[in-house]
Amino acid sequence: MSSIIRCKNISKRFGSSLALDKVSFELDSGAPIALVGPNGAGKTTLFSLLCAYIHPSSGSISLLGHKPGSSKLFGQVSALPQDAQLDPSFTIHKQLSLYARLQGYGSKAAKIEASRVLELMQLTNAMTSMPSSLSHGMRKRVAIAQALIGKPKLVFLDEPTAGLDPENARNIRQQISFLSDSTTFVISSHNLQELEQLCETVLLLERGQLLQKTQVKIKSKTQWDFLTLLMNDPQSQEVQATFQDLSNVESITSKNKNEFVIKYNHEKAPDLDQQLLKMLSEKGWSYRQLTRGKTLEDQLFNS
Amino acid sequence: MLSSPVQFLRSMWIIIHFEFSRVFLSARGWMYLFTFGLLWYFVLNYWVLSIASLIPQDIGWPVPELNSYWRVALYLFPGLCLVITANQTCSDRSRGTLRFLVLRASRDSIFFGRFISQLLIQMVLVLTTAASVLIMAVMHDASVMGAGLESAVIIVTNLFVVLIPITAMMSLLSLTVNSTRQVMVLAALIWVLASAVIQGISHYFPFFEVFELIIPGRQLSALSNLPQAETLSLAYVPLLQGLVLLVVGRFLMQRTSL
Repeated sequence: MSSIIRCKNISKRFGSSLALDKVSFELDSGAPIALVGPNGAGKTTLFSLLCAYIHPSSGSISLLGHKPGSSKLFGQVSALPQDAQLDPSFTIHKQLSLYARLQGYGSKAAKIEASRVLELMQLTNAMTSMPSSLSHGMRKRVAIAQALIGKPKLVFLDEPTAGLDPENARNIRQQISFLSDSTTFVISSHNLQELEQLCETVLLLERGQLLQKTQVKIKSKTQWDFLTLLMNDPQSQEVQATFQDLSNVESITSKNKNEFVIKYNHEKAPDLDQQLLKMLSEKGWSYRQLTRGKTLEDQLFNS
Repeated sequence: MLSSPVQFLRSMWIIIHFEFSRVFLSARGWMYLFTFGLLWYFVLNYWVLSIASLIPQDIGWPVPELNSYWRVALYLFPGLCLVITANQTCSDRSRGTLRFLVLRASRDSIFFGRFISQLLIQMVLVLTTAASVLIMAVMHDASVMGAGLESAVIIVTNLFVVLIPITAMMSLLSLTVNSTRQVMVLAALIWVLASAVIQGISHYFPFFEVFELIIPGRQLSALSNLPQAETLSLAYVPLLQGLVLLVVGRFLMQRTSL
């Protein structure tokens, strides 16, 4: 694996407010990377810097060994910018063909490429539509489609599924998952469940600073591991007491009345999940979900 | 992978081609062209051709129709330029469309591509209108064909030079505000206010008059009274203005947040 993004002490000021404060990190190519943080944390500012929409007040950025905005990155780096809209005067196919042309495609090949990415986003029927005639969700999918033109090595997606219906959101997750063998995605989202499904590395920004402790691998393993159990019926005390008695269970914490996080020694009890399922069956307790590891939300905010 | 200068030229060419299709291959573009055609029909018939008969023959312009066209076009096209070139980047910037473009084309190729395309689109209008006047003049008197062609070439060249700084000014202003209307208002303010301020100051400090040269189009009144053979003698003024405005605009484009 090679380093695909290098940020060194980047800061960005807007007047007197400091949007990013000496953020440094390095990311390798590979599985999708999540960028999370509360509103105003600096996620979009970081994306804008990486895409060269704005310039850093200080610090340096390198993408694939080049400065953002370098012509060497055209066609290699792509993005779904937040709130950006297409030109209302042309059909979406014509505009995506223009982008493909600028990325080096010939006239005919550009049209084919534009059709291909629109098809990926299930927009074949809307190719000749003007952007103004599309719904918000469709426009978002067109914007994602333009980010997939060519074979970019690095794609920044700012809130890719926000405002989309569940079916289309799922399609986008599937496409990201499918393409992540050849493309590294960096995804900013408030949907932690979605990021949990897609990403292995998480960057947490807060008040313009990168919190180092949260640059974690979601699937990281130590001797301690976690199971997250979501019950159908609230049976808090009984469940907690029963599972606490199991050997090699270190602790059980209850997030709410029907969700439990079980910390256990993975090396000594690698099959604890199966023991739990057996016990649930014996007790006749109905459960909704049993997940290995802690949820991303717990890892980031309850560690 | 294309080298940078080749990539720059290629991107610029694609952008120019796309901007041309905005005017010449879209329904909205055809509507604008039709409106312009209608406007030009009235200007040609009720202004250019009717003034032509009133212009004295001994002022250095062999074909009166083209002299008349020169006087009209010298103000018509700069005025039109304020309207049709105002939206070079402002709407795309406020809408976020430029964010899609800068991932694939350098800011230079976008800035200069848009500038050149606007200039060329105006030249298509200039060429069409000049040709229409030449045809009318030749229909009236076939012997003026040679002299008329020479006049038309000089006029078109002059108008090309005159439109460079005004289009460049609009390129620059388009980077500073968020809507076409604001660009036009700002351009009009620069023309009116800056001229008034400079004239006011130069009333007390005559050396200040030289600053009038920084305002695009300030040479127009002087230009309209020159004989045909001397019209290009003032070309250095708009060319220098254009150069300065493009350098400043290019710098601004590089620094602008998208």
